[in-house]
Amino acid sequence: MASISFELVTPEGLKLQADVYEILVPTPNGQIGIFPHHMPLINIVTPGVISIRKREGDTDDNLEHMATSGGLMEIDGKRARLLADTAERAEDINEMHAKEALERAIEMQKTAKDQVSLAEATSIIEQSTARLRVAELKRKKRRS
Amino acid sequence: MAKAQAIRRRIKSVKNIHQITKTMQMVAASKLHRCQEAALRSRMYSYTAREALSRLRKIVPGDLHPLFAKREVANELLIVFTSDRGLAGALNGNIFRKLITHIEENPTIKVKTIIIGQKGGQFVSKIKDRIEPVGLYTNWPSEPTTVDLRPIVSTAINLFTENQIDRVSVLFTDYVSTIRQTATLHTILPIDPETIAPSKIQMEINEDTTFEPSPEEVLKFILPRLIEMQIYQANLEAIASEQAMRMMAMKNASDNASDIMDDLSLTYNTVRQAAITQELSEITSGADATA
Repeated sequence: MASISFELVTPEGLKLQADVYEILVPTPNGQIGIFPHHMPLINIVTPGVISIRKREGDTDDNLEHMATSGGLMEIDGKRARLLADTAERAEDINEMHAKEALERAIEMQKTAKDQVSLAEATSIIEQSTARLRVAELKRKKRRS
Repeated sequence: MAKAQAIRRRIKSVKNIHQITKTMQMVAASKLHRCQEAALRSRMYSYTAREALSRLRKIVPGDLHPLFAKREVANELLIVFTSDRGLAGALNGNIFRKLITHIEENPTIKVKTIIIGQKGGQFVSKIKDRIEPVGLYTNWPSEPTTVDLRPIVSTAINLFTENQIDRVSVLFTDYVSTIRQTATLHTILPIDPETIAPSKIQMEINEDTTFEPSPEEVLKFILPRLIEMQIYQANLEAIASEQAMRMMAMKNASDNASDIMDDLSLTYNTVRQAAITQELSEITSGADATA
């Protein structure tokens, strides 16, 4: 079975190391899927949801989802490595907190006076949205 | 008896010192635990980031980003990590020695510094004629985040891209283990693929790598982050080292205090015994005389 070795490294340590079949990552040009034998590629990962399909036959319900606030993806043909600022599994996400943070950040974005606080608010919005999305996917999976 | 009293007073003061150093040792030990964990956790990211930088530098043309520019070094910026408080053994001393050696070995280079820590600030004010301080940060948090470092990182990057500085290095204490910490000087700008690469490279370097959206965009996005990460890691190592060295220094001080206490007790007992013997012999000789 074809697989690609995938490593997810964050400042909090190694979050994931596994041979997987498909990795879906958000990029500035939309989501891309990485399969085994992908051509060498270095790309920017934007804040959003990373989805991992472990085996070829796995359905979408069995994808593993993680929320990230962005980073750098490197692929050399055999291995894929994601250097991310953060990566959180659904278990590590507190939905309430994420929702509150999102509301606060939206408020902050409206009242932002300078570029720095505007950028900070935007990045919190993006990260909270990704977190909520992962939590939602997890809930959907449980129900089905 | 006056001598015995003086010794007793000394025992008491040494005992107080022992208590204080012992407490400081415990505090440092518990802080060390947290700092060490933080430093080790992000080490992998920092290594991987260095590998990524080295690979990037080898794949794209060298003139693609200003941070790759290698120039004749006339001005250098040193980011020096020292501690705010003393009583941490040779921590700051080692850093200062390294700093002086570096200046003496490179007489043609004009050295500017950004200092983190009160102790470093005090030191550079004494050697103002040899280096030019650019920034001083005191009361540094004991568990810093990348946000705390951002002003330093952006100063370094700006000075470098404006050609005011030709090289940026960090001077910090590398945390090797609880008993070994070494003052280390590490160049971070310009990005040199050889010196920056960690000892083992895991991923292949392909000339035909594609970049999304474009090499320029990728570099613009990632380089400041990777540089920030390196400075952050240096800071974490420095903080872990500070706690480890303080713990060891305080442990030595406590042990010394114990030794002195033992010695003094022995002397005190001897003096006291001598006094008693003398008193006894005075009494008996007095009794003999009256009999």
